[in-house]
Amino acid sequence: MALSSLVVAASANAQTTDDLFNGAVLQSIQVTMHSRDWETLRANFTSNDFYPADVTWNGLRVRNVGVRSRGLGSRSGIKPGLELNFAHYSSRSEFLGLKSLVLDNLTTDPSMIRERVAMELLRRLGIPASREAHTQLYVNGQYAGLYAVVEPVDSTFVARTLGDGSGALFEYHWLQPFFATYLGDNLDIYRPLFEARSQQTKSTFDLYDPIRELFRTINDAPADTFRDAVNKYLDLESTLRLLAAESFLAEWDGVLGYAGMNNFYLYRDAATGQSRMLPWDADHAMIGAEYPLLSGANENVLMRRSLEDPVLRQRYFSSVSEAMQSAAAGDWLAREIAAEAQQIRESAWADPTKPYSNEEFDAAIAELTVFAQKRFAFVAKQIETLR
Amino acid sequence: MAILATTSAIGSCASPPHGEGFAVRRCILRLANALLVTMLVAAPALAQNSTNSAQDSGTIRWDDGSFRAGDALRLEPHARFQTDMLLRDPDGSVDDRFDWPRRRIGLDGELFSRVEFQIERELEDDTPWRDIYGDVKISRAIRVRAGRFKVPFSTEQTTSGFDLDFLERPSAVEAMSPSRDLGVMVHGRSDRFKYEAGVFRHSDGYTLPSDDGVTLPSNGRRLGLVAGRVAFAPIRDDKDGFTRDLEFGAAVTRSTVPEGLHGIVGHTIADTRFFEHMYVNGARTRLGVNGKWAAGQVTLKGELLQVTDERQAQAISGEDLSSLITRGAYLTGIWRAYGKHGHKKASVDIAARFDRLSFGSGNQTDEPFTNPRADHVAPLSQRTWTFGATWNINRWVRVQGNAIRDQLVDPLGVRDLAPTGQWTALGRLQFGL
Repeated sequence: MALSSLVVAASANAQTTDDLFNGAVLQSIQVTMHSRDWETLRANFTSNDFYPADVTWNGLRVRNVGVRSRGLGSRSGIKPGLELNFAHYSSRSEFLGLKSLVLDNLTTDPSMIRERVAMELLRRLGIPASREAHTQLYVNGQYAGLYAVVEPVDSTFVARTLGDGSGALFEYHWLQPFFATYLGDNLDIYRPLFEARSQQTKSTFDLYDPIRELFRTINDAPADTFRDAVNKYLDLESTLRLLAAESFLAEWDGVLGYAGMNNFYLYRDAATGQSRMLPWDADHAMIGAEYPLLSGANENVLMRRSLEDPVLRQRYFSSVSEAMQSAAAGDWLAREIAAEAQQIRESAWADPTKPYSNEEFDAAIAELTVFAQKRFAFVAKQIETLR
Repeated sequence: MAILATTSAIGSCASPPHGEGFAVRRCILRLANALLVTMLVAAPALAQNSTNSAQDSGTIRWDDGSFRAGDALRLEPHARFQTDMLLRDPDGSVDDRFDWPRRRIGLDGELFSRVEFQIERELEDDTPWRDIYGDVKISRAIRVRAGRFKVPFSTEQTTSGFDLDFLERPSAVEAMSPSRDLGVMVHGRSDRFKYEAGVFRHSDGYTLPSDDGVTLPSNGRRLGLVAGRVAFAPIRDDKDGFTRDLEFGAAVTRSTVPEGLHGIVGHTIADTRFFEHMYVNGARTRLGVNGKWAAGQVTLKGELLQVTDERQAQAISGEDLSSLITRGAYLTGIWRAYGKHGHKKASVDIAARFDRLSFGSGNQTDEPFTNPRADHVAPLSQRTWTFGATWNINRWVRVQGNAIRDQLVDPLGVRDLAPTGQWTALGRLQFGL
């Protein structure tokens, strides 16, 4: 037993997460579960209950992995989105240094590539964003569909991208339209919006007082001190870079989303106490080539007041330009869309559980191709007009 | 014939067609009918053997809480209540600190000094009925009990909740013991020995406290439980010797548990679950030994318990898993600080108990995991110290106080557990008529 563990460990060491998230390769993941557990998971797909499974990737087998249904609008009993939690049944377990993995079921995006393309661009811009690759998923030997294997935003991710994961990480939950307004003194209001993903044993005050003060400052700070006052709680430089990139990508369900803030994490640095936003779930990116650059900006207090500050306004539009130039360089965006579409087409067509027809898949890819052709001119014109 | 009537009623409860609630009510009604038949049939026959009954049957009186019609009939209604107060909880977050763990009314009785019976129910509970049984005394060595009553296994579990040395039974006893079930049992005793052996339904309709309220579906399989317990008391009520009482016993049960998440669970004193259900499928075997030694004002007693659950075809790949093994033990020491033994008069007892409940599996060599299909189940144990005082003010009123420290120990460090134990303090007022 010890020898076999060493062999597995040696094999695991030979491969890294770079191999797992290597987008140049269409990955293949095998999940083995008790057939009754798989039936139960699909029948109770709204539940977060974990079920044990063995997971195999590239010849590496991980035993006793916790598997659960995941997602919000994408939850499905036919094609469940899955979390693979390697540490759920043993705090000592991990896989390639990861505590967990997300298998995105790609059910909200007929093209199945929006999120991966968006995250790829964010990373090109130096914004900490999850690594992703497409994968064929087999459950008990049967093809269960095309998924995206996504690096979760957790303390491991934060440590990799920011150098230190010892701070407090919060997952933002959309509960109702929220536009960065001040919600009042009661800390219990902030707790369900920002679920602590680390340091859960800390007191409510320690966790949520800085968040309350952040939104109080965003709303109440005088205009002439807004930048410095907010910057004490929120890294405005990185925040505006993220907002600018999402604006270029026409992300209508992001931080400046159509129904309020959505799809981000908040990470508070342990040393400085300053927070930064981390992107998540960009499957509604590239919604349209003529999606307005400042859509949602006026409703969101943080964005509206940032644009009222001349320095921050300049930074924002510079960041949009930077995103645009990066996506245009070497026709990167169009080539990336074409490459990913080509890579997954056969598997997507064969996907027996996707909620779209093959014709709808092709049409969605064609829409993205049009986006890549027309977005630059539209954004350039908007920058010229709005700057 | 009377026994046959009762066992027939129990057998006819085996496959409920209209849901569990209906099945429970139907079984209780049939059981009540069967008990009635038992008494009606047994009484005349037994009356012929009772010479006293003919002499005293005309005397009707109320005597010390009992209604008596000579020796022909004794009826003893009772009502017993316990109210608890949580004096200290581990995290100070409990709002409602009062509880009524038991509020019971019942009727004990005896017919012609040959047939005893008991009916008891909780005043407010989803499954209110407790004991409902008849007990026919054929001789001192042979008695037959039929109905719903506690399966003989742990001595602590079969001790009434109103006679416990502490507010709660040991965690191992709570978790590992079968509770009440429908069945038929032969039991009896001599000067030194006593025995109990029975068969029980152990399936549809009734929840099993040891399985944390899970109702076990039969899936068409014939379920059932056989149980036996023997005890040997080489010394009993010796007022002169160093040992006043000495007793040893052993018990075994065997049952079939259907496939599902029906493994035994562990609860902390604060009632949070620390060990979840595991998938099991197959035979469940319980083994227990117990001992008691009393000398002067001091009593020591304890039990060792083990439950083994088969896990046929429960691996992720569908193969068999190693058996799930749950072990438990406790040792109690009691000092009677005031009052005499064997009297239900005023007394004060000071007591301490250590108990341990541990979970694991037959496979102890592979990498351990906590998942419900792990072959090597990561071991986990709960260790609890309980210190208490019991003041029996009189035969009706009792006051108890307990300080409890429980701690979870994960010897292989698979889980993230708090390193220190938790203290809980409870007080109880109990009264009964």
